[in-house]
Amino acid sequence: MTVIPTDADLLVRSVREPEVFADLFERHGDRVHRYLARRAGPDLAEDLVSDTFVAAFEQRSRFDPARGPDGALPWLLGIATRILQGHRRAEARRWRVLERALPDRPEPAAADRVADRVDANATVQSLVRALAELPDGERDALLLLAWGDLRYEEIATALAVPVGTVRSRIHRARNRLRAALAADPLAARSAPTRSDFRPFLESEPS
Amino acid sequence: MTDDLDLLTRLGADVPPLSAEGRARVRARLFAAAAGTANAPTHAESNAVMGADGARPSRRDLLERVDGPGTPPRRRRRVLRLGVVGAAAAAVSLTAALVLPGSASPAYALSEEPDGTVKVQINEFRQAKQLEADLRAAGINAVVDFVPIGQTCQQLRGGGAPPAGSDVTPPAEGGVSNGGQPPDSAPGTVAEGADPAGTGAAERGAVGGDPNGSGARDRNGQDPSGQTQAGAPAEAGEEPAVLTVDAGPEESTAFEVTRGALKPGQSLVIVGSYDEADPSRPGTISSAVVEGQVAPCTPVRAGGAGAQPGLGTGVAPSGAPGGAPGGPTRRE
Repeated sequence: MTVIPTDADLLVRSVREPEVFADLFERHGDRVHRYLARRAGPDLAEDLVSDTFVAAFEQRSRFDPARGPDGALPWLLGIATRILQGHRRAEARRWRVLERALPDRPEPAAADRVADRVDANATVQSLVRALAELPDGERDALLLLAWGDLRYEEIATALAVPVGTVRSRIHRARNRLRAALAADPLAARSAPTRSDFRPFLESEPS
Repeated sequence: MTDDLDLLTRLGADVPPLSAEGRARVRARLFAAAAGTANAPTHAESNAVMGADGARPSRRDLLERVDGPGTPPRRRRRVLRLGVVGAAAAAVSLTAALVLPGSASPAYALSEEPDGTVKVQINEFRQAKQLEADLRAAGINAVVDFVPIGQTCQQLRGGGAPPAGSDVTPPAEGGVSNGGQPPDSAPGTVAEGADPAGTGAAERGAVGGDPNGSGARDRNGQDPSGQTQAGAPAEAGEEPAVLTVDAGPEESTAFEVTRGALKPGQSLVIVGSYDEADPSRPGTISSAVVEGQVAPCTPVRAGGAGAQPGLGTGVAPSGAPGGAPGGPTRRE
């Protein structure tokens, strides 16, 4: 009917008409929730979504439209990421849950044998442990990529760092994860890790 | 060489989505924040987290900034002042306002006060159903319709409950309301309960004879010859008013509703009549408490047998035929 206002339009208007801000929640609430639920667990996610949007509301006048040409989502996920800083224990609990969880397999392959499960379990454990040991900045950048579905430029906006910094953080983080996977004693003992995982990993387009 | 990232991307992807209830709770907190009344601890924390733009606050920062200044939003003059809510009430406070596209100010503003009342200020008689939804979200089982002056909703929309409501009209508007009204009884304001045809009396409650006297009460110091007198027990306070027309800012129509005054199964039927030529002109609010289901509004000509002075003529001047002597005092 009319031109759909951009996120930046909404934010600018919301400075004088606070109720407009609710539209931003309608637009991005689910994405923000998903990111927070994956990082801090589903139980806490709702509270953190509230915190994120209330915080965003309070500093809405500081949103720089020039920095957010892709909309407000990177900005919101950046705020969510900072909110998470105050909930490290919840994140640690979440990692313990993930350690025991198998990632969804895109298609249950014929190779779904007990041995594979053991391998996958071991690999997930290694991955989660490596993730937990990452420096905060690297983990934030990596998870905004993997769980926030942001692009490098958007991650730079979210974390308020240059995009080059994002690249190097993600590069370093991935090196650490790969090293952890390769060094995984369980996986190494039972089979050559990579080839064992090929079938299951290749079925996902990259 | 993307296996690590693939694996990571799939990890924990099965988180449940935000539930409808969770969404409503977040929205309520957001509205509360919009009214400058965000939930205290998280509010403080949020302030602290956001205090350093882009920088990571230390734990100590968080503690030190707890009392940092929030920035209460500045509201436009015609927007109801929303902010004066104590911290205790903050968690349940919810405000809503509907902004019309291309319109300078919200069609209406709704705020929940800590004392349990819900205030509504109508700036423009539009979006009745949205207001209805907002009132329901605020816990008031309301049915809201706006009809042009000269029309009203059909009578007997409810289950024929005993009279429990009456009409309230800002006196300045010269007494435009929904029912036919004997010109001698309440010149300033007209109650549909007095409908000569008698059709509305059962559910709407005749102003003069409402045994409960609970429907509504005009807070505007209506003159004795006007509605308040007719609705005898209004000032006695034996039962809380459900809906009270408020002396809002000029050029607006405001009322407040007392939460909890409705019993289960009751609906508060609100009919606003407005000037079709200019929906932003102040109009009148009529209300009634209805038991059970409320039929949708079918606009009908108001007035019935005795055409009501003022009906169909827009906002009647105070000196209009039937105008209360000295009655209309509110409008500046």
